[in-house]
Amino acid sequence: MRVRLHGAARSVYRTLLMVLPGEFRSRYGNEMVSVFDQVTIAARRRRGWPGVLVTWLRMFGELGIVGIRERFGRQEREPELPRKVWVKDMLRNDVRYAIRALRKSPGFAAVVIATLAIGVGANTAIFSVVNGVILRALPYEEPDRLAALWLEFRRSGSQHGGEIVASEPEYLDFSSESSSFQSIAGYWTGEANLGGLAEPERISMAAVSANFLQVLGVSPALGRGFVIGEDLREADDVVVLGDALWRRSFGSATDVVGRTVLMNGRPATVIGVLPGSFRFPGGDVEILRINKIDPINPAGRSSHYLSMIGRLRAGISMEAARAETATLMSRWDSAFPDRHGPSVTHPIVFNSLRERMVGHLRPALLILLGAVGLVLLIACANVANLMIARAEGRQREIGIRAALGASRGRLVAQVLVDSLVIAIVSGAVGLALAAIGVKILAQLGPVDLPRIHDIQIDGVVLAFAASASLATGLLFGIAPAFAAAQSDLSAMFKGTNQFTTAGTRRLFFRNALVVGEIGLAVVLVVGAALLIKSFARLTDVDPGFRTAGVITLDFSLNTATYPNDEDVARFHTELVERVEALPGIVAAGAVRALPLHATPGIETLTIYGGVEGTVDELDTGDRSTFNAMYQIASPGYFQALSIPLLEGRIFDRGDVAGSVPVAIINETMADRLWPNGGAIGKRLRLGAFANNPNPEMTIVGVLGDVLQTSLDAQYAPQLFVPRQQAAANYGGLATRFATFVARAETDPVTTIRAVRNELRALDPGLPVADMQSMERVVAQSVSDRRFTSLLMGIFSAIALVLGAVGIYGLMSYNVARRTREIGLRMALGANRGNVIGSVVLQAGILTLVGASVGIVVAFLTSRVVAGLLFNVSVRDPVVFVGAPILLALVALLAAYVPARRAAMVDPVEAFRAE
Amino acid sequence: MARSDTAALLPLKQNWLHILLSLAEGPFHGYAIMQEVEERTNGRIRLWPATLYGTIRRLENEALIESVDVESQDDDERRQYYAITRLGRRVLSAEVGRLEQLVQLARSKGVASI
Repeated sequence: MRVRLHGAARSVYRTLLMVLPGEFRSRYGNEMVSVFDQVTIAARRRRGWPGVLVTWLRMFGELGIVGIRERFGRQEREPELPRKVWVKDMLRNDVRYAIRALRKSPGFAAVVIATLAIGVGANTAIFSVVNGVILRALPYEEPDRLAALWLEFRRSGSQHGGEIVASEPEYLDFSSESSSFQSIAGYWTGEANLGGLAEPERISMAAVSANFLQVLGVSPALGRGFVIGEDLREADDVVVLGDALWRRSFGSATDVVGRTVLMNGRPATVIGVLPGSFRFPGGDVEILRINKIDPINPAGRSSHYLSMIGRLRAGISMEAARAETATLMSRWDSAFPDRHGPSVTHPIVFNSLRERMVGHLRPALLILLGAVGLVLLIACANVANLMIARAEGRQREIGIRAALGASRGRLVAQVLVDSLVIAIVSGAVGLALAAIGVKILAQLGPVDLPRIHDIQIDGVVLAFAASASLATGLLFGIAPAFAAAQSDLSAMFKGTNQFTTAGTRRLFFRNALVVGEIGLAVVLVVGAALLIKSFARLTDVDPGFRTAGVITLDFSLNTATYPNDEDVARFHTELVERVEALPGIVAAGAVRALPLHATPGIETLTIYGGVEGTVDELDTGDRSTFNAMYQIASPGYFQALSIPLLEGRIFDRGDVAGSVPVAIINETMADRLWPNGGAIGKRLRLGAFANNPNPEMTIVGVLGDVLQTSLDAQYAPQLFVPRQQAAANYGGLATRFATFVARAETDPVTTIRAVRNELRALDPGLPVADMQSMERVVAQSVSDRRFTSLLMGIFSAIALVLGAVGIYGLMSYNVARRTREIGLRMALGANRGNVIGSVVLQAGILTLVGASVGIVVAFLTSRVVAGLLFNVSVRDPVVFVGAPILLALVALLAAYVPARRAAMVDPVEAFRAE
Repeated sequence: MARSDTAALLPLKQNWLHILLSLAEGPFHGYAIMQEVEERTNGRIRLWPATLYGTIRRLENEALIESVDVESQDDDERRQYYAITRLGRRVLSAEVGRLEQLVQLARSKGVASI
């Protein structure tokens, strides 16, 4: 990213070299670019990226000043005036003059400043998101040494076959045997009921290994962090509070350390408070509790629940660590051939923590930044056109100044100062707009956008806004400046310069600007249309369940109030009975991980008997292993979500703790294991085959597939176990956490209220979270794509409007300029239709050229959005035909107004005006 | 450009003087000149690239410096080294002489340096 930023700045610099005379450029251009690179590198080393931006700004500005001096400045060996006085005087006068001129034409000033301010503001707002999310370093000590680790399945060779978090033995083995990592922390996140306060709360928590804070390099603001020994099973429970929780629920009490709280009903001692600047890697977490692992007797190899973050040893690169890990994997392969665990085909892999946290957002954000950059370019083209038109209005005045002895250099400098004054004012307004925009973006942003709280306008963003404004000023100022430099004095005084060479060249230039604008607008509209179409396709996807009338909520039952599995089971049975008795309720039930809301853990299963399809690991006689998402569900869950039963039966009230263990699998799992059918009656066990203590279960049903993780994901194998049997037979894997689901014929708001009342009646102290309709769950799961397509839609709408304004401005100008000619034609018998036709035709030709250029560019570049598209081709014919048509319609509409005005020309008046 | 008369170039512009002073030590490439001037003046004078090469261009045109080939393996190809010419040294000496006279003159009038 940074390298790319440097590359982009280098191309800008190389382009800006155009301000130098050709001979200068060809002699020293390459060397200057090389110095530019070296200065950039030195600035980064000395003062970081903010320093680099300031340095770039200086080098761009310096190049512009030298360019003007070289082209228009005093000749060599001219007696030297005190330079500082000269420049200062010139600047002061020109700035004063520019401000006076703007005040005299407030309408012009308002249009120009508004156009640019929107452009700069939108760019700054998007850049601040990019800066906060991607560019800024993670708030940990030496964040570049941090890596996120996980395990991967490689189906064949290097083909990627899914990711999985670590089990305790895997985590312990790798921590002790890998020499590339200084230390590795293991953690898992979830929710917990926090009691022992005035009001019990359901909060997000992370259970972490004792070294977690040391690995990140974070020290608590109060108290201390976890220490080795506290992670032993027999140790007392300890927690570290997050800053927000500490302020909210403990009134920022400084004596909080040593207090006892209840975590899921069990007492835990507060040992510290995290600093306000702490951010949990990936997601909001309000409290950290120690995760207890017994190194002598860890949990089973097939229970994968630990996410890992490691700190590389100083001086060890990511590549070196990867090489070492690969060696370690093959060593494990040969040392423990029978062990179910990390191996060459099932390796432990890692990437930088930053990449893991925000890498997936980079394409969308960079595309948005590119799009908003195009909007700014279009705005610049519009303003350049207006500036040229204004400069023409001021030709006589410029002529007088020239006649009074102003050199070309002075005239050009004056026009440039004019542009820069406008750019600076617009930049300031744009910055204010950006400040508002950032707030709106934070609201609109995807619910799970990491580091969303870090989005703000800081020094880097300010420097960006300043550079964007100055670059803008130079960009739209250079055209009028050159126009001024080419002014023809005698023509100016005659006042009729439109038929001079300079006038014709200017007109060509103005036409080119409008063509360019239209081209860019087409590119943007195509990009936005592709994303919007893709979003529409995505929301049309059948997730495998019905959302209408479905509400959901999360809760977790304490071991204090519900000590035994029977208590949990009784609560669930009662709740379902009570809710199903409510008027309008069709079905109710609970599930471990609600689709598009939570991801169930992946468990390794042992499959018995012949398997015809593909398995994840080698067959050993009649046993093979297979990995599937492990779901726990009550009978009503399937009905509440209307998930179709394809074969066999769903769970019923007879599937209780003591009865025959049963399981239901989804269609994908059935197809993969038994592609020729016959899944019903097959036997399997949770866990890998060695020393497997779990009871064997029988498959009784096959369910339709459901999209679990996201609407654009593939179906994945899933295994469902009835809640009561899960608790009784596979205790370690059962969870007291559940998402409750109910489908009603009444509207969701009423249902939520009624269900909530029943929960209160059963257990008034039970905290409940994420109460919402299933429709909202689905909507939130696509919030990132909605964000991208919404913004692209807004940007392309702005581009369309700006393009229309450009056409309108140019055509109005042309009509005003051709008043005499139009009057002449009308006097010679042309009717109004002819006149309107000729103006619209001219606009039509410009639009056609612009749209064709735009289509070609869009066709060549649309691949950049490929990664963001879902079921839409990057060359979708409807989009590629529709976008230019839409633009042409808007452009012709914009041309029609001045065309009408042309048709109103009175021939007599037209001649009198001369 | 033709050879210039030494006297006509005096007094030397500040940037000219500093670049000639840098090159008096030996051939340098552009970035090295920039660094040397910055270090020598404790950061008071920084020759940004366009100014640097604008001045180099003038000095080359006046034949006070010339581009030279320097054997070095690790440098990238874009780097061009510059060396002071004999004329350049003469002009530099003349300027130093002029400055010396100026300083002596000032001293004789009782002006001390800070």
